[in-house]
Amino acid sequence: MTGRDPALGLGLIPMTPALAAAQTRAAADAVPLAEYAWEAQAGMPVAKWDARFDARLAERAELAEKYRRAGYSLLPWKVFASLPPALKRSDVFAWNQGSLPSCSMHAAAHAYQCATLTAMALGAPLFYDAVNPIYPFYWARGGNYAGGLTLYETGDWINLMGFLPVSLVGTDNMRVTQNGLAKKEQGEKWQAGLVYLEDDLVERIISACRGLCAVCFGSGILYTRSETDSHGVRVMAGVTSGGHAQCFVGYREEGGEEYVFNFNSHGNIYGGDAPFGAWVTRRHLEAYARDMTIYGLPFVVFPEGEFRRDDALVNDFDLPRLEGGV
Amino acid sequence: MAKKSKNTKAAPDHGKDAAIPATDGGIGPAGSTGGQVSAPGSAAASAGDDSRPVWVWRDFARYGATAMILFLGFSFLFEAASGCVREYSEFRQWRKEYRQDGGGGETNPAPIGSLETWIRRNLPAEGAGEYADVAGAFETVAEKLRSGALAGPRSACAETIAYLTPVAPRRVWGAFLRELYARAVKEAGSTNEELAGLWDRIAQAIRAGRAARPSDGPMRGALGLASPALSSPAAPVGEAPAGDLLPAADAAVAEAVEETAPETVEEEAAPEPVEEKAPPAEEAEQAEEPAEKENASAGGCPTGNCPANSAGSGYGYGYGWNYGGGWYWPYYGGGVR
Repeated sequence: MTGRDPALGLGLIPMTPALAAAQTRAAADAVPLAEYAWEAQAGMPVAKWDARFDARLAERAELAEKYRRAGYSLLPWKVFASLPPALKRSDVFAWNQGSLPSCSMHAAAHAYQCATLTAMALGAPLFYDAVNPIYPFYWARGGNYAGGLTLYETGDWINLMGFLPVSLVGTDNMRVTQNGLAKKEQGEKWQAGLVYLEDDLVERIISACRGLCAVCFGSGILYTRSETDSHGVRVMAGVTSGGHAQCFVGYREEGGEEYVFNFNSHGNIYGGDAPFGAWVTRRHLEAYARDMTIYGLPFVVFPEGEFRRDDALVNDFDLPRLEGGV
Repeated sequence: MAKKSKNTKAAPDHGKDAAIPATDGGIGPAGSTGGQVSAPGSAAASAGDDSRPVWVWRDFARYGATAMILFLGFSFLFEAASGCVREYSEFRQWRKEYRQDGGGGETNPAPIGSLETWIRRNLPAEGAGEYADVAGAFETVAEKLRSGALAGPRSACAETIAYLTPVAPRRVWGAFLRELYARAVKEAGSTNEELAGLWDRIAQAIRAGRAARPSDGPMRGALGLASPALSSPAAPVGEAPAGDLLPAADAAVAEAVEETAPETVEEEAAPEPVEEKAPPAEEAEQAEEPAEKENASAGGCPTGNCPANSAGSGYGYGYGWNYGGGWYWPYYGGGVR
């Protein structure tokens, strides 16, 4: 483990007993996820990871395999690149948190955006609009940027209060404006549905990513560079310490090894065709999982958003094709 | 000089006409002395006066002309009115059939009518291998609706799309599915059970449609695709490709092709090998003509992107071709779009 780079904005803080109790209650009160979360367009749920959700993920994994066999890639950044301008309300895909300790909300924003893109690729009649993490971060902090958040506070805010999209508040993710602050109430259109991962974290993260979901997580370590492994996959390397939130999205299997993509908010520091992150293996996940719950339970994110129109139920754009197996 | 008639004032019905003096040079009988202009029914007229009143002839001509004009006018109006009634009656009949068939055309917000008929007529021509998968996707979603795993038409449609995308090429199936959803969402009830029932019906209709038209459906109109049997000049026109059965619904189309295309096929199949000269302009025109005829025969559609159910309908919904002559009526020719 190398020393921590002070230039990297980290900001995930450990849970307090009071927050941990609240989180336990929230997880216990979760409801079964019986339908598409975006269908309701109101009151996004905290759903339960139960047998039904497991079955749903298994179906999704099978579906993802069908897409792969048909030659389609469902990786969010590729779907993003394939979206026609008419369906995009902003051109932002990956955020860089800079030196602000706003990693938690950036991770949640990435998970939310990726989940939106996946839903669109699978037929959801939504628009893609990046969500600016700075406003929910500022509000969840109580009106300041001086310090970080727990993952639970992050999830709770985006579930109850929602995000604000770039088309409403702009792309400045380093400071808030009065104009943006005045739009707080509009966040209810961009709330996030959550499913907490309470145990068996590594398996559930892999299962969720295989099932085309995005997972927001926090950990006491992070990777700062990437390298190509024996299967030709660009994987995370150069571990350092510090409470940091990120997201997992995307799944691939090469040479019997399972990989999920680790999406970071430190800019394009990893190289390759997705330089905002790199793939991680089960070994990386196990390293992450050692202290994940200290910062709050990881959660799967389901998006909301504006419908294009009622009958726009065909994904009216060409999905990206597989390149190099992904 | 002719005197002014005394009776002029006694014939108010004729007004100033009656005041016109009758002279030898006038309209009255030759030799009449004039001055004795009697009103019809007057004593002079009924007494058999041989000096026949001039006004009778003049007014006869005038009234006759007026009557003729009125007759022609009324005839014209009657014809116009009956034409309108006839056209409206035909329009109503067309509309009735159209609704029964579920309409056609991907952008047409027509009433639902028979979804099964619409599906049968509009199944994509290509992708025969995917029919079972497409029907299977609908059945899978129907099952999920019944089990409660899904709820609501949006979820059902999105789930269906998620399962269809890998098995049904968007290029071929996109327009069909988009229109299908527009219709299905309108027809779908609000409960999961109703939705599931509708999804099952769609699946069955797709399977039935697949059986009815193995590989050459009339989706060519809605998708802008030409049927291989219609578009390939090298293919023996009128004969279905191997393993293909031209559906009965397309019999009219096939007949139309048979009538127009064989010469073209022979001409192109056996060109003169010796003289490689440019064909005369007349031949060139002939060579182009069948393509147009083929196009026209595919539902009389001039654009190649016409509603599939216009094939052989004689009404030509939406484009105003071949609607049987008579009055041009805006219900056709783009009046209803």
